[in-house]
Amino acid sequence: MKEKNREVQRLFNSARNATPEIGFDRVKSLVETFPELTEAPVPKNNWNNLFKLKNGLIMTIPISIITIALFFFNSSPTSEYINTDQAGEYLEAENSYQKEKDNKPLTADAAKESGLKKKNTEEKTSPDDVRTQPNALVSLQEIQTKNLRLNRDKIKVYDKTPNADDSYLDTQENTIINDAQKISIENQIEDYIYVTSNDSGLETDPSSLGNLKLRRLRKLLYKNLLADNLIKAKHAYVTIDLSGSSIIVNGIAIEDSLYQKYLELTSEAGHGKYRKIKMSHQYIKVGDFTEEGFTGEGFGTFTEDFEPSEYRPSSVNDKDGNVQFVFEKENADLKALADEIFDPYYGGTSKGLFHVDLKFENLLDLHKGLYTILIQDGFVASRKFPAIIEISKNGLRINGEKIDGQQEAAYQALIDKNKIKPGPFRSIRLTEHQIFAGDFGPGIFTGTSSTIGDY
Amino acid sequence: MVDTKEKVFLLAYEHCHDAFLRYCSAITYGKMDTEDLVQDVLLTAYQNFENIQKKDQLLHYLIRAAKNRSISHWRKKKYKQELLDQHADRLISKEVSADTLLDIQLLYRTLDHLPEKQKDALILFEILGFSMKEIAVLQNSSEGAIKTKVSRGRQLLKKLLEEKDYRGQRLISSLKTILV
Repeated sequence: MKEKNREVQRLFNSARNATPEIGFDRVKSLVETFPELTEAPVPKNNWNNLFKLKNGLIMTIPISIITIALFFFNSSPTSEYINTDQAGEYLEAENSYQKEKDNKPLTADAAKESGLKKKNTEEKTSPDDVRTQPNALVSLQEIQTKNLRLNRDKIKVYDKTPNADDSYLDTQENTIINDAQKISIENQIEDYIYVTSNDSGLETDPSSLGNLKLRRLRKLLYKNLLADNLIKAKHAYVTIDLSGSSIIVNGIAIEDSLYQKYLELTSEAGHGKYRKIKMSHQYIKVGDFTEEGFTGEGFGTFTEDFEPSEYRPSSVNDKDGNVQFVFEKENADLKALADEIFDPYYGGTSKGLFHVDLKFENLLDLHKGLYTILIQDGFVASRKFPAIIEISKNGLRINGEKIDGQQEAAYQALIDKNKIKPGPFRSIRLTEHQIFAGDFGPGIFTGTSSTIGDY
Repeated sequence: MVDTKEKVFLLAYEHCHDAFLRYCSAITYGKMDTEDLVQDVLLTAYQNFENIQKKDQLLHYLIRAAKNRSISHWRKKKYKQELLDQHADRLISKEVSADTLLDIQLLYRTLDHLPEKQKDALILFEILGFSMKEIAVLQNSSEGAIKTKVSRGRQLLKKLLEEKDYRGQRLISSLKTILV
């Protein structure tokens, strides 16, 4: 063993003591050539030396993230104005500009005077009642012209009414028209969105928003409207009227303190005599709503407003098989009742999973059961009269009246039996030959409905 | 100015020459021309000479530079016969005896079978005569770890020499043929 150690050590000693294979003189001659080689040294700021993959990655990733974040969250100037106070401060300058023109935004009093309905007033006022003040309109136009790039390429979107009669008309008696299915049909209706050049000839056009901006605008408006208590539920249908010198949300002119904020929030929508923003959680439409239809930009699933009569069967057979054309009258009666109970902007919907989706047997059971109790309780004299049963978390209301606990139990049992959950805009609406169960909005119904023959 | 730098550099290098050359010979054995490596490393050292703060530790700088180049260039390469021949020719021209030459060749070949860090520690400790502390600084390791590496390297080397005695004999005979 020791001998082996000695052997190893001997090898090392040989290597250690041997003359190097290259002598110092040779190395010296090599070194003497170095000054010539290094006469033109590589500059220290050579970009090639500065570039390192690691450094590049370290810099590129955060820059990309910041750029994407800016693109998503900062491309809309309105995104800064969730905070009302900030909006007020920021827009002070523009406000003063407007004041200089002696065209103050319509105050709450002024709005009232001009026929607009304020919050907590019982008088119902259609937005059509609001008359534009020409001077104020000029002022508003100037401000918005200042803010907007109106010379962008203008895009107009037409959403044609789907051929509802074809899509939903079902003349078979006792046939369910499931509006959850209707939604899936509506998804196909996105084909109805055409983008063409603008020929509306209206005052201004909405800036070219695009889907991303529209989506962001909808989100931003819902946040602010909820925060300012201008809507009660996050799925409420909202109509923002931008036609005058005041901004009208669901028929109510907003307060002065909020005016500047919403002016800025909606600045990208432009303004005009017929300019409105209509939105639900399913869509947003920004543009001009005239008698001829909608001209502007839209995102999501939407159709022209329709009345139930447009897509319901036109007739139903009686027990003897005779054809009865009853729906037009029934729907008119039901609409009149709904108009008495709700304001024109009442409504909203729920997201897909929470739609009311019932089989015909359930609907028939509900129709029979509810009418029986309604007649017993004296809410309706017979099935000839329509009825509306609101189903909210706060309890049941029948034809706009809150019912007491004992009465409520019978209705609630029927509703629970069919697994209908409460919702802010949920109701069951009954006529002699029809039943609708689901969420209602202005001209929109999401849920399940059916025609019911005589029984 | 250039002359001054050259002279200062050569003055600093002169003390490192033997050790640096042995180190280069050991790590380039059969894989790269030692002169190429020496020239490459020295040119870099010369260009950065102003930036080397501790001129007395030029050897450490040269060894580290040579090691870095070995890692990135020829560690995995196979032996080249012409380089082996060149190494032998150079040593013979320096009047190194045949026995010493055989010992060196055998040692370098066997060292090449050791793990890289053990090989490096053994070369620095046994051939260049570095202290454990110096090797620890060079390898950015602790003195204890270097002691372990040297000890294990030596054990492994001994084992390899025993196991490959037969092959060693064949090597010796082939080298003798070359030398003749």
